[in-house]
Amino acid sequence: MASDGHPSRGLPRSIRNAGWYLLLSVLSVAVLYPVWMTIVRALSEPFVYINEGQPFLPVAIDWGVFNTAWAEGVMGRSMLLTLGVTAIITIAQLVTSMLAAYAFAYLRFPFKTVLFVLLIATLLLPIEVTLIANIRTIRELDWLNSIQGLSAPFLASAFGIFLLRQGFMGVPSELRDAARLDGFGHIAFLRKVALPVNRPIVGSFVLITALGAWNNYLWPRAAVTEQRWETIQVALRSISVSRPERFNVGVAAAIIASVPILVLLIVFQKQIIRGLTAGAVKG
Amino acid sequence: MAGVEFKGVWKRFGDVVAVEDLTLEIIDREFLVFLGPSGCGKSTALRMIAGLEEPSEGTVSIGDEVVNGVDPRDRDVAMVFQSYALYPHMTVYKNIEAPLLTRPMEPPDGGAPRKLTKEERAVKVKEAAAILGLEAYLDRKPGALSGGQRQRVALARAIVRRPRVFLMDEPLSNLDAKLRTQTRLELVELWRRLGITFVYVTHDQVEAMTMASRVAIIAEGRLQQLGPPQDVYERPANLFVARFIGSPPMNTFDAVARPAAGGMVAQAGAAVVPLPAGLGVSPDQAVTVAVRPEHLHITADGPLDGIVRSVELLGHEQHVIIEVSGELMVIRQPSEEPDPVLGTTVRLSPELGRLHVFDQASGLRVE
Repeated sequence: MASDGHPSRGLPRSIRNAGWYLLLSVLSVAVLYPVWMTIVRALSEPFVYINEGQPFLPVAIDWGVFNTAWAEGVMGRSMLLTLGVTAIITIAQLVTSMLAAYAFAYLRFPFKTVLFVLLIATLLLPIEVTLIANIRTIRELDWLNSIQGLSAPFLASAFGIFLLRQGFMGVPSELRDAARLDGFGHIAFLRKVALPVNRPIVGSFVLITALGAWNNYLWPRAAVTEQRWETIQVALRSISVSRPERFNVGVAAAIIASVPILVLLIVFQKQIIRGLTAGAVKG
Repeated sequence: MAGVEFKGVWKRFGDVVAVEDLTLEIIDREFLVFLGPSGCGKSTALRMIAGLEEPSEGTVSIGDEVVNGVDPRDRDVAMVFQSYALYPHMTVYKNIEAPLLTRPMEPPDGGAPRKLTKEERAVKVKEAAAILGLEAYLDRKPGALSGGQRQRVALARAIVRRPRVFLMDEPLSNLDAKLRTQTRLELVELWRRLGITFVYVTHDQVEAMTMASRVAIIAEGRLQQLGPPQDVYERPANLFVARFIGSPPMNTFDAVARPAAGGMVAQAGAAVVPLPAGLGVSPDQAVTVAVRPEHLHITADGPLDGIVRSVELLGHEQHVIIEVSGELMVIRQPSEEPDPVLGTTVRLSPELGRLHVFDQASGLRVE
């Protein structure tokens, strides 16, 4: 790195900093602009600007749109249902991932590497590939329009197993030896050492899973045929298509639906960043 | 309390033999040190006592019980690791308490072993913490402690449940020199106080010499010599031990035994060194003669001659390095002795009674 004492080796620090700030500002605008425009669109009376294009500031602000959205789409019910499904998926993925990751990290069993490679290979399959087969299974089980139907395909996660396995393998072998001598069995070691030591990774995995489950659209859209089983993302679509001329209601509903996610992100942002960069820098 | 016994123990990792036919009895309550260069199999031997490795062949016993196949938790041994292996997310208190949570223990006021209550565990934790001077740090996490303090926590965690055998794998190598000296003394003190069997692994001969009741020297998976430190120093069983123990190491030169008037001599080129009387060498036997640096002196009429190459001053003593027919030899002498002039030829005499003679073919000591 060039320092101030060696101007010949690069630009002065103040200019370099200014460059960084400029870049960060541009990126921030790129991220924040759509958010801002969503808010503007929700708050503006739709017919005011239908001919003039999207204004930058809200026109004829109508706060009542959020009430309308909440009442019209039965959002409370959808959000509660989605919360339940999200909780089931997140807890199930955490439990199955940590057990499988533990086995892949610490236990010796035949075909371990082959099984692990196969497991990782499933990461390459997008949900669309398995959608039709899965829907058929769910239908045969008579699980359409049910909590189990909404959750079943997401109870285990190759990504989670991979992430936690990497974390577990980072636990020094001497720590495992010490735990064996201290009398910890597999479950005790997992609960008292492996998981707490990897708390940032576990935390970010839980968040990523919860976000994914909350934002899931394609599967619930396929696995639900009755309105009362619509999860929040499907319900948003129903709200938008039922009143296309009042599209600000749909946008307002989308803002309401994103509130729990925003709260989660704000509360856990430190955890997420630490988890995503875990292993990048040697502690 | 218990001793440990290895009987014909082998440990192989694939094609690599880590421990070869080890037979060794560690006496109850002794401080035994496994000493050897890195990769010699000493840690593997220790890990077999702990149950972290299983012997490929042979038996390991603790007390009267063969422990092959017994889980580490059921062996009643404790171990301190080089990296200390503390649980980083737990406080010092929780770290020391950890081994008490998982097994029935004798309560602090005596009686049959059972699962301890929280209060009983607290008594034991505080007792162990007090022995190692950790009372002030119980609420801290290991990350907030110095290397020496972490080391004490590891020791406290090991002694808190009074194991039958206490195992240590290079526990001092992460400490600085001053702390190491101090901790050495404290470990010996701890051993005396606890009255249990200590098995200690190190590559540092100073640790072995200063702490051990007996030293087991291991090289290439084989036990080379077992005995009290002074015996090992004074009567090395083979050339490996002779060269490994002592700093600077022993001077050696190859020679052939010849009969001469008044007994046998070792002839190396033009040099003829008389050998102690009664030595079991036969005429024309190829031998290696060894002498410690403190037992070799510059004299006017010594049998060896060499050129002074370097003088190292250490304050209390000096090491004179002399080239004798292409080999470097070291003389250790008090710093009051006059400095030899570099490049001059000097004559050397070994103390006759202090010569060590080894058979060149087998490397074994000749008595």
